[in-house]
Amino acid sequence: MLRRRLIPSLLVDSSGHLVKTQCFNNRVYLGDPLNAAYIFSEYLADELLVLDIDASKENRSIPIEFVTALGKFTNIPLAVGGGISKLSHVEAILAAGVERVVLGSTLSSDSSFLSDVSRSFGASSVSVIVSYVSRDYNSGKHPPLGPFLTAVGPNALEDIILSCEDDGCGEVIIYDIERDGTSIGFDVELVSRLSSRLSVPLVVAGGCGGDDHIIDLFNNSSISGIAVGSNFVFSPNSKQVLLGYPEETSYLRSRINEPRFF
Amino acid sequence: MSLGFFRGLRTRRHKVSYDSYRVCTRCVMDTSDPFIEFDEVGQCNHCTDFLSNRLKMTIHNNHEKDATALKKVFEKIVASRPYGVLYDAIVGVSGGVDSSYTLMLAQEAGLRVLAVHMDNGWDTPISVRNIRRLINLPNVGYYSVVLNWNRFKLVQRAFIEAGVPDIELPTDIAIQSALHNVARIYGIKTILSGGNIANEGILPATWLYNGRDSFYARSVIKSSGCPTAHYSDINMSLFDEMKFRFVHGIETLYPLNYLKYDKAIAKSQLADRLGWQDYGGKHCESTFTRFTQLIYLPTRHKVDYRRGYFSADICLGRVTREKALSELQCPPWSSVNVKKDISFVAWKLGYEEDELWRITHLPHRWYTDFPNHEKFLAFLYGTYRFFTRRNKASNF
Repeated sequence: MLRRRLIPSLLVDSSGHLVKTQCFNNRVYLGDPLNAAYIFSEYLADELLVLDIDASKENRSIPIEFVTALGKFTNIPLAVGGGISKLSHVEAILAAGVERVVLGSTLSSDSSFLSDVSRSFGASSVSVIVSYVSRDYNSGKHPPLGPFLTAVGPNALEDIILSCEDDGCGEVIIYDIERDGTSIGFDVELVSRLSSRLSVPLVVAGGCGGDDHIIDLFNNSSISGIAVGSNFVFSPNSKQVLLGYPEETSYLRSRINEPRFF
Repeated sequence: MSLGFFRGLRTRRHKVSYDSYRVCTRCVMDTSDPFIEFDEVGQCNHCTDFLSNRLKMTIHNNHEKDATALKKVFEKIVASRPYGVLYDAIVGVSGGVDSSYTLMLAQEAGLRVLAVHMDNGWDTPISVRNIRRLINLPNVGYYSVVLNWNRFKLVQRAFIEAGVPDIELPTDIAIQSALHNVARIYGIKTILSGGNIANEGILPATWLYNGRDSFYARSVIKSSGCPTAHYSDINMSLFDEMKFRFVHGIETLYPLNYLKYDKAIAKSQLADRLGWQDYGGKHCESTFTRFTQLIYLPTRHKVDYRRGYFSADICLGRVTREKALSELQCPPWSSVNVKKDISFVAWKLGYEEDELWRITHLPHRWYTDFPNHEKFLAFLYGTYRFFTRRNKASNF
């Protein structure tokens, strides 16, 4: 079976700071994103997700010089996103040595962009990131939905990711806004339902609080990877900045890599 | 004691211009320190001072105290544990061997330790993993201070562009500042430093000048056109130091001076007990330090830090002068991937690769070429030592 990926997710803000958000708010400054990427690369992380969370708001794409440096100083697969709205952006980013571009809010205004990218560069080089709140907020008083493609409620989320699949995306990343940065665990039931409906790989982000959560989610759904923020950038007991990634010999690795026979 | 006072005051550093290369006959210090002085038998001021003054601060000449000295220090800290304070001591951890070993010793002695890490944007994977291993120990807490990288980068650039060798001075002072501020916040009275005379006892002031001299740092930064406000964020001036020392009662202790500190033994103990990983090379737990000590200073200032470490080792009888000299024959950068390091450092600091390489070969300057308060600080330190009956054990 395919290796289940543990993906450090790095969020970069408009001034090039590495930050960690909580419920897409309350940014905590973590330092230099390039050094963090270098460290995760040396730890041989399965993949690195780097998102510029201010880019689409400011109508720009993630700085291409930064992406070039990421490509130059890391040697693990990269998925890069943030304000990518033109085919030329995609081309430049892929040329910098990035495996996959991550599309988000652009798709809400330009729904044909995904199929354009997929046709030009292949489905395997494009992911879609959808942020969602898992409850239906009927009155519209939902929390801020963030810079990605957004969905309110599980049904809307399902519709969006299935239509993205039809448009030819190679991977779907779903990001739970209300769990982001809280370390309370995943919504296993929702994720397992979505992963069974979806035929492209699914990556789950938001809410990871420890090894148990990761093992539980992998064992109860057929997802392809988990994007982890807090757990990989903060120290175990205090929420203090200290990068970390499970070693190949760790308990977590041995648990999530074991094949399922039933 | 009065001698110590005068020794502290003796700061007149005349720039001796050596026409030719000269190396000390006892250690391996040479004219790469422009202020080195040789006596009539050709022995330099560094090893003379090291042997006659600095070693007295350590256990190395005091055999019967060896086993109990450190224990007493730790016991005293535990005995004076104030009510309601969560930790007994702060240890600044870089992931390097000195700080890791200090923390392990304190933890094993039963102290509740707060490990504080100052992240200046140059952490290496091994150092971060080592810190993770350390803070997994029982009774060890963790606190991180992350510098604003975009601003700190400008300060480092300013020091590089000024041409002085002290490009690690901003980091050093930021560490001190972070440790003291965290100590104040938590009400902790003791900072345990991994600094030690056995390994670092011979390092000339010209190679790394006193970080407490804010006047000097500011004049360096101004000369490069960087806003000095960026430095104020990380600065800890002498005034601040006095405030922390006398108002907040925060004291810095150097546990490694209380034992016969041997790096190799420390490394193997750390590896056995914690799975701690060696990163190879002194102070190579940070990419920038590695670049500084192994590439930048040897190229631009012809300063080789290994000379200082070897000289201390020679004085302690751990290596022969001949072996040190033969090892110094091979260039310091032979153990690193120079091209890769340069390109990484250049990108992080916002230089082009060849631009940084060009800067690395520009003419150099020393701290004496910039306005500084060296004499004033020496007077204050001298006075302080006089009244507290301390001996001079550092360059300043």
